[in-house]
Amino acid sequence: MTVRPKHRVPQEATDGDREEDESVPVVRAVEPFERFYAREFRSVVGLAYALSGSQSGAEDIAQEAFIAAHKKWDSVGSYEKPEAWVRRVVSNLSVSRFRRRASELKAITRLSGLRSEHASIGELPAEADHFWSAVRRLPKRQAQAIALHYLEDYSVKDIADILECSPNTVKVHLHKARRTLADRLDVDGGDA
Amino acid sequence: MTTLDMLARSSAKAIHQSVSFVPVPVGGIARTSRVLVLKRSMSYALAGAAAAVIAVIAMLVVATPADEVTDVTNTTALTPTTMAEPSVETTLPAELPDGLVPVVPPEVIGETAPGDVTPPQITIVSPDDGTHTTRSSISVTGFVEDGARVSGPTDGPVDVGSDGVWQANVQLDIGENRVVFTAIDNAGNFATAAIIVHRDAPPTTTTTKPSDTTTTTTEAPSWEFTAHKTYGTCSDTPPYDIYYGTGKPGTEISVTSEYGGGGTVIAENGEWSVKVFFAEAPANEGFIVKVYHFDGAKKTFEFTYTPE
Repeated sequence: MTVRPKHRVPQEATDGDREEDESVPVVRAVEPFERFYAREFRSVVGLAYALSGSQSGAEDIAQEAFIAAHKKWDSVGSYEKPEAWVRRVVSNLSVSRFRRRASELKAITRLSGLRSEHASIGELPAEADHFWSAVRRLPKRQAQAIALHYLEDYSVKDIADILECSPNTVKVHLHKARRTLADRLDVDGGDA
Repeated sequence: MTTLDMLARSSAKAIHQSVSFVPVPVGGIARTSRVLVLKRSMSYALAGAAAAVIAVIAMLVVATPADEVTDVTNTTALTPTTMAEPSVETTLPAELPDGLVPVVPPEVIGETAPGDVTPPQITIVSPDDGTHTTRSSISVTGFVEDGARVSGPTDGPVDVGSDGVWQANVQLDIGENRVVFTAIDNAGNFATAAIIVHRDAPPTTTTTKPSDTTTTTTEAPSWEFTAHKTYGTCSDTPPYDIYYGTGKPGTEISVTSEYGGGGTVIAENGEWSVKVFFAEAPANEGFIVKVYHFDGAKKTFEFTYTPE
């Protein structure tokens, strides 16, 4: 095709969902990393497990994200939601092909003496395993949005912050994902 | 609540239960923003900044039991020349009295202390070492330590994400290809990671006609992932572009961006095309559109909404 789309002047070309006034810097007390780590670790492992499907790799992926957070905790810890930053990293690590060799990430080896040698994550029931397998077959952003929505109960706004997109984009991801999941799992609820 | 919602909630609950007994590694990540100092109980010589950095793991430092070991911060890095004694744990931070020798943990070097000689860590995550493929190019994904740049056998610079993830497409020759990527940090330290990728010639199949003994050798159908954009800019509302290319028949192509995406299934003849609307695209601000093949291969394009 060589025909260029015709031009029309849009009435609302900009993203109207970004409501926050980000021009005012906010100074926050930095929570001790150790406390943040202890509080968030399991749920982040759960997110990694849901999105990677790897019992053995999920803890490694979570550890990798926390190592990254730890290295720049002076800045990450001052964020309004440092947990969102960690989940963004975990989401990207999990969905990508990192899961295939996550346990080989060299940075993780520093912690080898502190981690158990085998996966401590329990097996999923068949129905749940089937559901998350279907989620992992979704496009990356849709899978991330579904996991954050159902697994972590995050709002559309929170998911938008984590995925660094607009709330409307998240809504579209969730809508498409539900439709696809309902179709693949042969259940109702696809927002059709 | 729909059936899907109920299934999703119960599946989420199953995940929570499955990780409920995962132990949180106590002290699994120790803060290393402090510098260890060591006061030797016997005479020692000091080496300059070029001396080998002592490997300090977590909060252990090599010293003799008779040595005094103290933590301080923001001190100048000096290194004792002989450190072959057993390890002892450090004490809590304190002032740096005269005669103490600071020892800098590798994790601190480059951020707060001079004399960074620690190479950045770089890992190739995919494909696996020894991978065989018939494709002429392959997508290589990896991880690099914060702040380091990555270079490799690519036409342009390697894009490193804020999370340290990097990806590059590498052209392959027939036969064995040694793919090497190098990470370089701000101090000039570098490290490499390499894999071997074998590009095989397209496979052939041999068939024998039942009516006679004639043997015919034909080249098996092969496919290669390609992706192209049609426009790159659009003034229509909502703006859109059409992406097309080739790939493995029957597999999925997905197109993602900050402002919209789409997908399709590759036809039996190996061709695909998909029209993608970017309903929320900002005006006159280019953004990245990525097209993914089922095997993780990716092509990146830029799109700009240009309303008149």
